[in-house]
Amino acid sequence: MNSAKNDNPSITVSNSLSDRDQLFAFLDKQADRIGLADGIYNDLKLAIDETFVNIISYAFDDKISHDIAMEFHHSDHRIDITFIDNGIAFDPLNDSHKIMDKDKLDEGGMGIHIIRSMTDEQHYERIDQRNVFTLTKHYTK
Amino acid sequence: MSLSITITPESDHGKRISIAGSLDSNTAPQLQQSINEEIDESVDPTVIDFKDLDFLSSAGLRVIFKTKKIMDNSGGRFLLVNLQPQIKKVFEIIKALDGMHVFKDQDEMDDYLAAMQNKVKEGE
Repeated sequence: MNSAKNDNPSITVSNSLSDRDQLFAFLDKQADRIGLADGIYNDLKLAIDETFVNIISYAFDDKISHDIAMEFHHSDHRIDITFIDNGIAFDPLNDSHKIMDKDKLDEGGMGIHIIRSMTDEQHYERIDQRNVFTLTKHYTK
Repeated sequence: MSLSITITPESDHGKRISIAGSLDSNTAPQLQQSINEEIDESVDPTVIDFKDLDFLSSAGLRVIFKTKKIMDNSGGRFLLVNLQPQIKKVFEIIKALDGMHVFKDQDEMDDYLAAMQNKVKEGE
Protein backbone atom coordinates (compact mmCIF):
# COMPACT_ATOMS: atom_id res chain seq x y z
CA MET A 1 0.00 0.00 0.00
CA ASN A 2 1.33 3.42 -0.84
CA SER A 3 1.69 6.10 1.75
CA ALA A 4 2.97 9.64 1.60
CA LYS A 5 5.41 8.79 4.37
CA ASN A 6 6.67 5.46 3.04
CA ASP A 7 10.04 5.71 4.73
CA ASN A 8 8.47 5.28 8.16
CA PRO A 9 8.69 2.01 10.02
CA SER A 10 5.53 0.06 9.51
CA ILE A 11 4.02 -3.33 10.13
CA THR A 12 1.25 -5.16 8.35
CA VAL A 13 -1.00 -7.58 10.19
CA SER A 14 -4.26 -9.28 9.37
CA ASN A 15 -7.65 -8.25 10.70
CA SER A 16 -7.50 -10.82 13.45
CA LEU A 17 -7.40 -10.27 17.17
CA SER A 18 -4.62 -12.82 17.41
CA ASP A 19 -2.39 -10.43 15.47
CA ARG A 20 -2.74 -7.69 18.06
CA ASP A 21 0.39 -8.72 19.93
CA GLN A 22 2.43 -8.17 16.77
CA LEU A 23 1.40 -4.52 16.87
CA PHE A 24 2.55 -4.35 20.48
CA ALA A 25 5.88 -5.96 19.63
CA PHE A 26 6.33 -3.40 16.86
CA LEU A 27 5.48 -0.57 19.25
CA ASP A 28 7.96 -1.96 21.78
CA LYS A 29 10.69 -1.91 19.14
CA GLN A 30 9.94 1.68 18.09
CA ALA A 31 9.68 2.81 21.70
CA ASP A 32 13.09 1.31 22.48
CA ARG A 33 14.57 2.82 19.35
CA ILE A 34 13.56 6.36 20.22
CA GLY A 35 13.75 6.04 24.00
CA LEU A 36 10.09 6.66 24.59
CA ALA A 37 9.01 7.45 28.16
CA ASP A 38 6.81 4.90 29.89
CA GLY A 39 3.82 7.20 30.25
CA ILE A 40 3.67 8.01 26.53
CA TYR A 41 4.31 4.36 25.67
CA ASN A 42 1.44 3.17 27.88
CA ASP A 43 -0.95 5.73 26.42
CA LEU A 44 -0.07 4.81 22.85
CA LYS A 45 -0.28 1.09 23.56
CA LEU A 46 -3.81 1.43 24.83
CA ALA A 47 -4.87 3.73 21.99
CA ILE A 48 -3.47 1.24 19.48
CA ASP A 49 -5.29 -1.64 21.11
CA GLU A 50 -8.64 0.14 21.19
CA THR A 51 -8.24 1.37 17.60
CA PHE A 52 -7.23 -2.02 16.26
CA VAL A 53 -10.12 -3.78 18.00
CA ASN A 54 -12.53 -1.22 16.57
CA ILE A 55 -11.17 -1.61 13.04
CA ILE A 56 -11.29 -5.39 13.02
CA SER A 57 -14.76 -5.33 14.51
CA TYR A 58 -16.39 -2.90 12.14
CA ALA A 59 -14.31 -2.10 9.04
CA PHE A 60 -14.86 -5.40 7.29
CA ASP A 61 -18.14 -6.92 6.26
CA ASP A 62 -16.88 -10.26 4.99
CA LYS A 63 -15.10 -13.23 6.48
CA ILE A 64 -11.95 -12.83 4.42
CA SER A 65 -8.56 -12.01 5.85
CA HIS A 66 -7.57 -8.39 5.20
CA ASP A 67 -4.35 -6.52 5.74
CA ILE A 68 -4.11 -3.68 8.21
CA ALA A 69 -0.95 -1.60 8.11
CA MET A 70 0.28 0.49 11.02
CA GLU A 71 2.92 3.16 10.43
CA PHE A 72 5.00 4.86 13.08
CA HIS A 73 6.31 8.35 12.52
CA HIS A 74 8.07 10.43 15.09
CA SER A 75 9.80 13.76 15.33
CA ASP A 76 11.13 15.65 18.29
CA HIS A 77 7.81 16.45 19.81
CA ARG A 78 5.22 14.22 18.29
CA ILE A 79 4.39 10.70 17.35
CA ASP A 80 1.94 9.85 14.59
CA ILE A 81 0.57 6.34 14.30
CA THR A 82 -1.39 5.67 11.13
CA PHE A 83 -3.66 2.73 10.47
CA ILE A 84 -4.42 1.88 6.85
CA ASP A 85 -6.92 -0.72 5.73
CA ASN A 86 -9.00 -1.46 2.67
CA GLY A 87 -12.26 -2.12 4.47
CA ILE A 88 -15.57 -0.37 4.11
CA ALA A 89 -15.57 3.31 4.94
CA PHE A 90 -15.07 3.34 8.69
CA ASP A 91 -13.98 6.12 10.98
CA PRO A 92 -13.21 4.59 14.39
CA LEU A 93 -14.25 7.76 16.16
CA ASN A 94 -17.62 8.07 14.56
CA ASP A 95 -18.73 4.58 15.29
CA SER A 96 -22.44 4.50 15.83
CA HIS A 97 -22.14 1.05 17.37
CA LYS A 98 -20.65 2.44 20.48
CA ILE A 99 -22.04 5.16 22.63
CA MET A 100 -20.81 5.35 26.15
CA ASP A 101 -23.53 5.56 28.74
CA LYS A 102 -22.02 6.35 32.12
CA ASP A 103 -24.74 4.41 33.89
CA LYS A 104 -24.30 1.37 31.70
CA LEU A 105 -20.56 0.93 31.48
CA ASP A 106 -21.08 -2.82 31.68
CA GLU A 107 -22.50 -2.54 28.15
CA GLY A 108 -19.34 -1.04 26.68
CA GLY A 109 -18.80 2.04 24.53
CA MET A 110 -15.65 3.13 26.30
CA GLY A 111 -13.14 2.48 23.54
CA ILE A 112 -13.65 5.73 21.65
CA HIS A 113 -13.46 7.77 24.82
CA ILE A 114 -10.20 6.06 25.69
CA ILE A 115 -8.71 6.67 22.23
CA ARG A 116 -9.55 10.37 22.45
CA SER A 117 -8.16 10.64 25.96
CA MET A 118 -4.90 8.82 25.29
CA THR A 119 -3.98 10.88 22.22
CA ASP A 120 -3.94 14.56 21.37
CA GLU A 121 -5.29 14.45 17.85
CA GLN A 122 -7.13 11.93 15.75
CA HIS A 123 -7.65 12.24 12.00
CA TYR A 124 -9.59 10.10 9.60
CA GLU A 125 -9.52 10.19 5.80
CA ARG A 126 -10.83 7.96 3.10
CA ILE A 127 -8.19 7.79 0.34
CA ASP A 128 -8.37 5.53 -2.70
CA GLN A 129 -10.84 3.12 -1.16
CA ARG A 130 -8.78 2.92 2.01
CA ASN A 131 -9.37 4.05 5.55
CA VAL A 132 -6.46 6.11 6.80
CA PHE A 133 -6.70 6.85 10.52
CA THR A 134 -3.95 8.71 12.33
CA LEU A 135 -3.41 9.12 16.06
CA THR A 136 -1.08 11.90 17.19
CA LYS A 137 0.59 12.24 20.56
CA HIS A 138 2.57 15.35 21.42
CA TYR A 139 5.29 15.16 23.99
CA THR A 140 8.27 17.03 25.34
CA LYS A 141 11.54 15.29 26.02
CA MET B 1 -0.11 -11.03 26.26
CA SER B 2 -1.95 -13.39 28.57
CA LEU B 3 -3.97 -13.26 31.76
CA SER B 4 -3.59 -15.38 34.82
CA ILE B 5 -6.34 -15.51 37.43
CA THR B 6 -6.00 -16.68 41.01
CA ILE B 7 -9.02 -16.95 43.30
CA THR B 8 -8.54 -17.05 47.06
CA PRO B 9 -10.92 -16.72 49.99
CA GLU B 10 -11.33 -13.23 51.42
CA SER B 11 -12.56 -12.97 54.98
CA ASP B 12 -15.63 -15.03 55.85
CA HIS B 13 -17.79 -14.84 52.78
CA GLY B 14 -15.66 -13.13 50.18
CA LYS B 15 -13.32 -13.90 47.34
CA ARG B 16 -10.18 -12.24 46.06
CA ILE B 17 -9.62 -12.39 42.33
CA SER B 18 -5.98 -11.66 41.58
CA ILE B 19 -5.35 -10.88 37.95
CA ALA B 20 -1.92 -10.74 36.36
CA GLY B 21 -0.73 -9.82 32.90
CA SER B 22 -3.16 -8.25 30.45
CA LEU B 23 -6.94 -7.82 30.65
CA ASP B 24 -8.03 -6.97 27.11
CA SER B 25 -10.23 -8.19 24.25
CA ASN B 26 -8.30 -11.45 24.06
CA THR B 27 -8.41 -12.29 27.75
CA ALA B 28 -11.60 -10.61 28.99
CA PRO B 29 -13.71 -13.71 28.20
CA GLN B 30 -11.46 -15.74 30.46
CA LEU B 31 -12.08 -13.38 33.38
CA GLN B 32 -15.78 -13.28 32.61
CA GLN B 33 -15.91 -17.05 32.83
CA SER B 34 -14.19 -17.02 36.21
CA ILE B 35 -16.59 -14.38 37.47
CA ASN B 36 -19.55 -16.43 36.21
CA GLU B 37 -18.24 -19.48 38.07
CA GLU B 38 -17.15 -17.81 41.29
CA ILE B 39 -19.20 -14.72 42.00
CA ASP B 40 -22.82 -14.67 43.01
CA GLU B 41 -24.92 -12.75 45.47
CA SER B 42 -23.57 -14.76 48.39
CA VAL B 43 -20.03 -13.47 47.91
CA ASP B 44 -19.10 -10.48 50.06
CA PRO B 45 -16.71 -8.85 49.49
CA THR B 46 -15.44 -9.38 45.99
CA VAL B 47 -11.92 -8.04 45.85
CA ILE B 48 -10.08 -7.60 42.58
CA ASP B 49 -6.36 -7.41 43.12
CA PHE B 50 -4.57 -5.64 40.27
CA LYS B 51 -1.06 -5.87 41.66
CA ASP B 52 0.39 -7.77 38.73
CA LEU B 53 -1.88 -6.42 36.00
CA ASP B 54 0.08 -4.41 33.45
CA PHE B 55 -2.53 -3.65 30.83
CA LEU B 56 -6.26 -2.95 30.89
CA SER B 57 -8.45 -2.04 27.93
CA SER B 58 -12.15 -1.26 27.57
CA ALA B 59 -13.00 -4.94 27.08
CA GLY B 60 -11.57 -5.62 30.51
CA LEU B 61 -13.32 -2.64 32.04
CA ARG B 62 -16.59 -4.00 30.75
CA VAL B 63 -16.12 -7.25 32.71
CA ILE B 64 -15.25 -5.26 35.80
CA PHE B 65 -18.38 -3.13 35.52
CA LYS B 66 -20.52 -6.20 34.96
CA THR B 67 -19.12 -7.61 38.18
CA LYS B 68 -19.78 -4.33 39.95
CA LYS B 69 -23.38 -4.56 38.84
CA ILE B 70 -23.76 -8.01 40.37
CA MET B 71 -22.31 -6.75 43.63
CA ASP B 72 -24.46 -3.62 43.62
CA ASN B 73 -27.55 -5.75 43.10
CA SER B 74 -26.67 -8.10 45.94
CA GLY B 75 -25.50 -5.34 48.28
CA GLY B 76 -22.09 -6.95 48.59
CA ARG B 77 -18.89 -4.93 48.68
CA PHE B 78 -16.79 -4.59 45.54
CA LEU B 79 -13.22 -3.55 46.22
CA LEU B 80 -10.38 -2.87 43.80
CA VAL B 81 -6.86 -2.86 45.20
CA ASN B 82 -3.23 -2.40 44.09
CA LEU B 83 -3.84 -0.62 40.80
CA GLN B 84 -0.66 0.35 38.97
CA PRO B 85 -0.65 3.99 37.79
CA GLN B 86 -1.38 3.23 34.13
CA ILE B 87 -4.30 1.02 35.18
CA LYS B 88 -5.75 3.61 37.51
CA LYS B 89 -5.47 6.14 34.71
CA VAL B 90 -7.81 4.08 32.54
CA PHE B 91 -10.51 4.14 35.23
CA GLU B 92 -9.99 7.85 35.72
CA ILE B 93 -10.46 8.50 32.01
CA ILE B 94 -13.85 6.85 32.19
CA LYS B 95 -14.45 8.88 35.34
CA ALA B 96 -15.54 5.65 36.81
CA LEU B 97 -13.78 5.89 40.11
CA ASP B 98 -16.85 7.56 41.60
CA GLY B 99 -18.85 4.85 43.25
CA MET B 100 -15.97 2.41 43.12
CA HIS B 101 -13.97 1.46 46.17
CA VAL B 102 -10.39 1.72 44.96
CA PHE B 103 -7.46 1.29 47.31
CA LYS B 104 -3.87 2.00 46.47
CA ASP B 105 -2.61 -0.91 48.50
CA GLN B 106 -3.65 -3.66 50.86
CA ASP B 107 -3.05 -1.57 54.01
CA GLU B 108 -5.48 1.07 52.84
CA MET B 109 -8.08 -1.58 52.09
CA ASP B 110 -7.57 -3.24 55.48
CA ASP B 111 -8.04 0.10 57.24
CA TYR B 112 -11.28 0.69 55.35
CA LEU B 113 -12.62 -2.77 56.15
CA ALA B 114 -11.69 -2.39 59.81
CA ALA B 115 -13.49 0.93 59.95
CA MET B 116 -16.56 -0.64 58.36
CA GLN B 117 -16.40 -3.48 60.86
CA ASN B 118 -16.27 -1.01 63.74
CA LYS B 119 -19.26 0.85 62.39
CA VAL B 120 -21.21 -2.39 62.25
CA LYS B 121 -20.23 -3.21 65.84
CA GLU B 122 -21.18 0.24 67.06
CA GLY B 123 -24.55 -0.16 65.47
CA GLU B 124 -25.25 -3.42 67.27
